Amino acid sequence: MKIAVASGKGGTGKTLVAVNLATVLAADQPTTLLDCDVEAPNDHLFVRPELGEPHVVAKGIPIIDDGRCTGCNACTEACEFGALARIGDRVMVFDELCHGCGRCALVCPSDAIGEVDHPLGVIERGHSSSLEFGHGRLHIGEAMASPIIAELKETTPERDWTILDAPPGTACTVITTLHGVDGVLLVTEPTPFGLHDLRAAVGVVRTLELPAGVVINRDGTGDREVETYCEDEGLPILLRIPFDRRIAETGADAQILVEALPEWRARFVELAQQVKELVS
Amino acid sequence: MKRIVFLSGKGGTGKTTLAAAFATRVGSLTIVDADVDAANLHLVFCPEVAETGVYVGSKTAVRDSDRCTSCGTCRTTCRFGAVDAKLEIDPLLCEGCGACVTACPADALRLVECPSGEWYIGRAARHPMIGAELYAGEEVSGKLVSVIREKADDVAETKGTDRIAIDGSPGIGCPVIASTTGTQAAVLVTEPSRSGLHDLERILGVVRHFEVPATLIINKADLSEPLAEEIEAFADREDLPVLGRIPYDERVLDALRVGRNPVDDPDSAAGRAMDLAIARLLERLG
Amino acid sequence: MTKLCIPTEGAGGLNGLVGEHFGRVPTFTLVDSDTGEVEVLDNTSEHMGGMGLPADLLVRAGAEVVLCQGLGRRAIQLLSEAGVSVCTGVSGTVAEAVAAWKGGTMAEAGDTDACMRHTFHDHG
Repeated sequence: MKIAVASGKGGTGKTLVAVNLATVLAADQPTTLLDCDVEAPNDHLFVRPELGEPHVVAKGIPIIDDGRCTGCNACTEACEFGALARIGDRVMVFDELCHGCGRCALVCPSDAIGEVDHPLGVIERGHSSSLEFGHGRLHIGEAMASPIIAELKETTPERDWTILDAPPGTACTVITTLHGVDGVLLVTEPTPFGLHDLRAAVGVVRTLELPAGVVINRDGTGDREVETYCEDEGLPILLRIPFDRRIAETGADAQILVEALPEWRARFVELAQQVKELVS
Repeated sequence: MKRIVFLSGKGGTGKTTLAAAFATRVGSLTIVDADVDAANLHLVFCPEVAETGVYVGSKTAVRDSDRCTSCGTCRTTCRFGAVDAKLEIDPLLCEGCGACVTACPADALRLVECPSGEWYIGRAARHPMIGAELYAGEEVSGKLVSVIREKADDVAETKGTDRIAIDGSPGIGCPVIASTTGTQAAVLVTEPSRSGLHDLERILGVVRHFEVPATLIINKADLSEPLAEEIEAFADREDLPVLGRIPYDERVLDALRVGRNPVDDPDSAAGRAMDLAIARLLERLG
Repeated sequence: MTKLCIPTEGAGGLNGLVGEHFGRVPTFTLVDSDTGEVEVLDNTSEHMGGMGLPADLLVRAGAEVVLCQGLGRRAIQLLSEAGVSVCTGVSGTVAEAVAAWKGGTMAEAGDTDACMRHTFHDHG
């Protein structure tokens, strides 16, 4: 089973939930944790896996053979992203705009377009006791995260449980993460920001037709609007984590909650059980 | 024209709260909510909207089943896995590149424009405010951010505001880059946690890559004294000036919940600390 | 002899004003730095897509140095690819710009000097 942990808003506690859920599941069944927030990956700080060699993820970008190029402009016209532009006698490629789709090479009548790898970032894997781990890391200055997430998912062997820590928000990186999972845990906080962004996340989950449950973090600090919303939407609230300085402090120090405060282990085991019921 | 962008790397550090606080303490300013994936600044300010528009960010491929011969070339051509075994195109995965359109031997595919989001121009807290929201699932490209930044530049020029404050998004990817290029100052908002420090390093890398001078605010600073110190040591090594530490204060949430700006609460320790940090920022901006 | 190119607000030749927005000016004024010969081009460029961009128009016209107020990052990259130098922050009349360039006080713009108005995805 693949379970994604997502949230419209950043900083609500996705990593907290993903890491602890994966940790309790790993105690009994083969489990992998994938940190798909490749722009700002943090799970490894908690899990502290021994990581293997980084594997480079690249996109194929065009390289123009000036000798064969006849200046017909078919490629510059065809590119939907403005990544190819004519300047004088030559065609220039804008790496950062290129999506690596290959269309330019297809339209070129002179066979003048080849492909070269443009590194986007890396994937790293490892394990920490029985928990298997993988994450991606986008190179600084690079713009496109989705291809790294896609490759991370595609190259991860299936196990009893795969927990995917999604990036914040609801844009394409999140869609790429959620694609093909069996269920989603939406982590929110009882504030106007939390609710606003939860609505967007629920929209995505409904579009993808995925079963979803909600985890309310920093419960008790805010208002009841999030709860009311969940009730109205028929979204089960599977776990409430109250605002607790000790949780905040252990989190700040990147400690795994169920190890630092063992009373929380039972709560996450209960969550795991609820998740199993959600996707069955 | 001075453009100041608020960034964090990690989400939830309080970027929007600080940007909002800054906006209420500055006289002549145009505000931009560039966190187009999860726009929140309008929740604090409730802008009066004067103008809106639909943003077309991308296209999606559409199949003409009359012409289609089910040869499957589109599926093998698509590098994004958007064409399934039934040769149906998933608009959420389709990047609108048109490679399948080119490859199709039966001319059965075409690209159609996708409304991807909405932008608005309005007014809030005595300032012109521009923002946008991406529809869920849309490509998180910086294009929409660039669109609203251009509008903001125009508005700033027309209204004669000499500063623009940009509330950026978390992460380090395309929309962050589009929020950062061409600005004169970046205010990085972090929290004293290992994750906060890790992501601060990454966002600082981006900001330095684009040669924008940066300063730092440590929010929720009393969360962890050892980590706050570690962050300050990091900032020192990196020649990153620290504008201040803001303590965690529940009053901030209370104020935000009722649509009030936390800086306006005289009893709030966080409010006072924010004021001080902003004063230091304004000194630097000159 | 260097062929200077200045985006201008009209056909005023040496008295014309340096234009504000590189890609959207009505004209480009070319000046031969030795002979002072002036040529005014209509700006027939496109902003979108990959062809007929302003930078391309100038390169085809033989520009070697561009003097302007500011321009987008993509335009700088295109001009630099073609070996054309760019100086930004230039204002006043064409004659004043040329004189300032000759005086040797102008700094060549790099990628990061791209005009503030033109951000990451500018098409100009």
